[in-house]
Amino acid sequence: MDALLRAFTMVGQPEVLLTIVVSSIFGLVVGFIPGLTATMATALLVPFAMFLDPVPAIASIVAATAMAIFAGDIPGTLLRLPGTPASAAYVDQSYRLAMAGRAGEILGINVVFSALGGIFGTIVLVTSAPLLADYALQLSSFEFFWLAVLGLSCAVFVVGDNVAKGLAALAFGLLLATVGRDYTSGFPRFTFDEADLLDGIPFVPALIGFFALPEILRTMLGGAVAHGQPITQAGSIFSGMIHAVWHWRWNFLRSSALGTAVGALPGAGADTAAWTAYAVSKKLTRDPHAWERDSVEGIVDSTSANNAALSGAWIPALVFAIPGDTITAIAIAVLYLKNVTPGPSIFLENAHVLYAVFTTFFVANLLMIPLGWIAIRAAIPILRMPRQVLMAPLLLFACVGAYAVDNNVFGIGVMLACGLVGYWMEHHGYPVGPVVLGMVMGRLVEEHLMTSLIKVQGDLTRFFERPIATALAVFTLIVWLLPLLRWITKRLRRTSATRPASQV
Amino acid sequence: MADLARRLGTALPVAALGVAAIWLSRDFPTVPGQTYGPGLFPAVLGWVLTACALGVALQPAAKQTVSASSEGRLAAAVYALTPAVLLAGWESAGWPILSFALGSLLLAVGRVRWWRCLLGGAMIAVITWVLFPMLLRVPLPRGPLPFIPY
Repeated sequence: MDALLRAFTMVGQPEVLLTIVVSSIFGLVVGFIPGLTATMATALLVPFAMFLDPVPAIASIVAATAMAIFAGDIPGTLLRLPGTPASAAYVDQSYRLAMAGRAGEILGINVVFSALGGIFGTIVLVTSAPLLADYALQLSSFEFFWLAVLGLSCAVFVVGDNVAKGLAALAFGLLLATVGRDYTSGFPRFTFDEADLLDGIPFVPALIGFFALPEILRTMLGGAVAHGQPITQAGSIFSGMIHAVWHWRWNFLRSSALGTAVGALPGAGADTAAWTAYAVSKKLTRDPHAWERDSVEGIVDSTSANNAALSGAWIPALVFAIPGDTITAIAIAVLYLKNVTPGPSIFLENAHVLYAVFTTFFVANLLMIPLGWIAIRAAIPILRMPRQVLMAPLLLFACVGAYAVDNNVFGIGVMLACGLVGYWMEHHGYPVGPVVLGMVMGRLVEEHLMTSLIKVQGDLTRFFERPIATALAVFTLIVWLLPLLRWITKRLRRTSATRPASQV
Repeated sequence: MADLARRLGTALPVAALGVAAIWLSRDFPTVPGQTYGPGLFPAVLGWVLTACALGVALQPAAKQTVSASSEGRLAAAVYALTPAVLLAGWESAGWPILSFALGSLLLAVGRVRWWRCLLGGAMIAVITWVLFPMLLRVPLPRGPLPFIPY
C-alpha cells in the first residue's frame, strides 16, 4: 500500500506529467510521419530519457510508443500510407472507408479503440505480472537460462520470416553484447586495445544507429514520395463512439486479449498483433460480405490489438527481464542504465517504481483520447510536407543524441557504424530487431549459462535435472523444430493438392 | 550467376564474422579450475553464425527492395557521410557551425529552396543548442564561437 501511494505521488509530480505529455506529442509526431516507427521514436527518445529519473524515463517511453502506434493510423486513414508498420494490416480498409466520407468515424474508432486496447493490456499486465513474479522468485539460473533461450528462440523461429537470417542477426547481437570486460574474469574481449570498448559497445548510440540511420538513408534513396492527396476534412470524430464501443464489445475483448498474448511473445510486436487480429477477425466475422465492404470490424479488431500488444510486451520484460519486443528491449536497457534491474526481484526491491510504471500506462492511454483528437486536427497540414525535409533534423538529432549519452564522440562513430551495418542487413534481408534483442539479453544469457556451468562443473546433463528447466528445454526444442514441421506440412499440402490433378 | 554472387555477398560477411569470433576467442583464458572461460560463449556464437551463413548461402538471394535514382543515391551518400564529417570537425568547427552548415546541406540535397535551407539550418542549430547544452547540460563544442552561452 505504501509502495502504491509512493508510486501515485511520483507520477503525480508536475515534471513527470509534463514528461508524459511532451513524450506523447513526440510519439504522435513520429507516429504519423509515414515510415518512422514507434521503435525509432523510442530510439530517438532514449538520449533524453538518460537525463531523467527511472520513472519519468520509462514513462516517456511508454507514452511515446502508445501514441506512435495510434498515430500511425492517421496517415493510414487519410493518405493510405501507414505511419507505422502496426497500422499496415488495415490501411486499405481504413482508406477505402475514409474515401467514402467516413474519415471522421474511422479516426474516432482508431483513437478510442487504441486507448481501450491499451487499457485492457495494462489491466492484464497489472494483474498477471505480480503473480508470475511470485512464481519466478523460485526459479534458479537453469530455468532463467532456458527461459532466455526460449524467448530468443521464439523471436527467431516463431515470429521471424527467415530462420537462418533471423538467427544470424540474433547471434550477431549476442556477439556484440560480449564486447568489453567479461563479467566472470574481467578479461577484455574484442576490444582491440580501444579503451572506449572496455565497458562494451555503448547501447544507445548502437540502437539509434540500427533503427534511425537505415530508415533515413532509405527515405533519401527513395526520392520524392508520391503522396496521395490527403483527405482534408476529418469530420466529427467522436460522434457515435459510445454505440460503437457497445456494438463491438466482444470483438474488442477478443482482439485485445489476442493482442496482449501476441505482445507477450518475445519478438512479436504490435504489427504482428495487428495482422493476427485482422486475420482472426476476417475468419470469425458473422457477416463476411459486410466485413469486406463497409464494416469497421477489421479495423476495430486490429487497432485494439496493436495497442494491447504494447502492454503485453511488458509482462515478460518486467517479470523475467526478457523483452517482448524491441521497444521493451530498449526500455529494459534504460532500466539497467538507471540501476533498476528488471526481473522478479523488482517487485520486492523497487515495487514503487513498478507501480509508477503501471500508472503511467493508464495515464498515457487515457491521454491518447484528447491528444489524439488534437493530433488528428493537426495532421492534415503536416502530412502535406515532403518526408525528406524531416530527415535532416532527424539525422542531426540522432548524432547529437548519440554523443549526449556519454558526452563522447565515440558514440557518433558507433552510431554511424551500426547504422551502416543495419542498412546492409536490411538491404540483404536480415532483420535488425533480433540484433537489439541479442544486445540487451546477451549478458543475461551468458551470465546464467556460466553460473549454471560453474554450479554443475560443466556437466550439461544437469541442465535438464529440475522439472521446470526440463519443461522449458522441451518447449525450446519444439520451437526449434517448428520450421521443420512447417516445411513438412507445406510439402504434404502441396502433394495432396497436386495428386488429383495428376490422377485426371 | 548474378544470383550466386548475391547469395555469396549476403552470406560471406556473416561467415567471416563467425570465423573471426571463433578464431579470436581461442586465446581468451579459462576460469581457474574450469575447462571453459570467457571464450566459450563467443565461440558458440561464432559457430552459430557460420552455420547460419551456410543456410543463407543455400537460399535464393533476397530481392533488392530499393531502386534508387542517381539523385537519391547522392542524397543518401551525403546523409551517410554526415556523421563522419561531424566527427572530423567536432572540436575545430564546433556544433553551432557544423549543425548550421550540415543542416542546410542536408535540406539542400532534399531539394528544398536555398533560403529555406539556410533558415532550416539555422533553426536546427538554435533548437539543438537550446535543448542540449542549455537545458540538458550536454557540453557540445562551441568551436570558434566561444561567446555562445551554455
